[in-house]
Amino acid sequence: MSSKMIVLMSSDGQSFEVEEAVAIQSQTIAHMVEDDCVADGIPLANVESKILVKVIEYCKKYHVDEANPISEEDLNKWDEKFMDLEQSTIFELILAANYLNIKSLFDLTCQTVADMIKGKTPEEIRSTFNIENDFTPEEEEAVRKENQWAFE
Amino acid sequence: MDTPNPKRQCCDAFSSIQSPNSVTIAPDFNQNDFDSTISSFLLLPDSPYNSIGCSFDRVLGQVLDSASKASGDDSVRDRLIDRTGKLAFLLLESTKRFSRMRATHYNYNSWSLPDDLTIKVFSGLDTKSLMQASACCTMFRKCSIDPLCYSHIDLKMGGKRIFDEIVCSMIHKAGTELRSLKLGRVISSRKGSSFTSTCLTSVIRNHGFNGGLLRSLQLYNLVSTGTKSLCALLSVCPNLTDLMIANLKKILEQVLKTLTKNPRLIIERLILQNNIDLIPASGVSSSTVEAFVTSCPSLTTLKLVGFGLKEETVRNLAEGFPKLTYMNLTRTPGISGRFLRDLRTIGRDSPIKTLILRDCHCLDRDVTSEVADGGREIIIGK
Repeated sequence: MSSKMIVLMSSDGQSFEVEEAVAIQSQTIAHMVEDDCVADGIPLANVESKILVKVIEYCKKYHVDEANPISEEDLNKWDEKFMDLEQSTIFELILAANYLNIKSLFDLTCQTVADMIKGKTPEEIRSTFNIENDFTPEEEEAVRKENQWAFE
Repeated sequence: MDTPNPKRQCCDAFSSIQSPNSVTIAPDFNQNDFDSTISSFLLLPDSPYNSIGCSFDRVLGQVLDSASKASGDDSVRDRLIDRTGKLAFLLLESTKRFSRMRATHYNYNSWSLPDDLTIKVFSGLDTKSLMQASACCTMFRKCSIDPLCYSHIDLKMGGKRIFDEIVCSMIHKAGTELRSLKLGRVISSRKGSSFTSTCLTSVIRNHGFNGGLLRSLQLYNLVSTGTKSLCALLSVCPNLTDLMIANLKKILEQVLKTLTKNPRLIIERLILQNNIDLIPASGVSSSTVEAFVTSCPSLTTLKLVGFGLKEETVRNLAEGFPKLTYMNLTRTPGISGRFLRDLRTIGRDSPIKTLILRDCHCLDRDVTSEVADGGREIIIGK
């Protein structure tokens, strides 16, 4: 059984051969396949190879069919392990998933970052994401007062 | 980078220095000379011999001494000291402005997501965490105001101080993006939460509230939940797919009646729990149950905990919903479980996969033990 293959080219010049059925989980790629402009491979100017590797790994795992059945519980566990990445990589994945329009990966990556914010104080959030406080003292006071209930 | 409002700041600077008794400005004041003096000062290289601090001390001392000598009294010296303080303050304020601009720029690089993706991340936060994030930096604050962040308002983690105004302000912020609403305290205490029935009324009256868009509503332990306001709220939310109310306080009949008034109920999950401390009151009339069953074709999950439902009612519920896969009737005293026999025979096509009957004291052991599973899970006991 031969499956149609597509070549994806990362921004830093690496090529990856992927089954078409796996690749079209990306709506962006799916549209290109429909428009039949994939003969010479698909250049992905916004995705570098390190990230594209992870994206392909995800799409392969999520290409679920009778030949490759997997329970939702197992997928969730796999998601957790998959997202055990450096912060910068997670952000890159968000951008890639957005660009490639892969909804489930996009939702997963965004929720991962949201979970990193949950339950933290502003100081802790700043420290986690290397952000500086650029409020004037008056602005900061106003923000805290506005939502006082959240800071008690 | 732009200078922060230079014209405005300059005017302020001059007006504060040009007070009546201050040092007079020379008639032939030249802005360019002035600016270049400041520029030279800012670009002073470090002195190799002693610290800039020592130089300040020395020069300021000299300036003050010569001012005293020239005028012969100390008032000029005093004004000069104040003026120097003011100059230092203004320079510091200006520096802080640039410092903040630098921090803002740094944050854009550090966080590396454009605003629309940041908003998407924020929409996965519960409301309290969203508030914490909004206090981090100007970029987060800007993003946290977007209505999409308030699509799923979750105020059930809030402490005692969540008042009605806060709920209303959140709903207002959500505007047309509001899809789910969770209010109340999950762990009910004797004191309850600060949510009252007035909160529900004000939710409805809030001009931004479009109940038609709300898909999910969860109310936990609202103190003194007036029946009227609860039913009023349910009436303006005809498109709920998810409804969960904990601590219903005996008004099952009214709630079901209100739901049934909607001809096009699309509700899929209904969870109603009676107050854990109250003795289960009488359940519902059979006509209400019949009407309810016929008007909820999409129901997949039904959980009615702690109500005094009759055997007949339970049978109607178990058999009446074409898509019901999960039914939980914990703490329903007064049912013997005979309906299970009928479920097995008549309802062979019944889609119910899971049936939970915990703490039903009158459950007939014989009946329950003879019910074959046939792919169904029946959980009894505590």
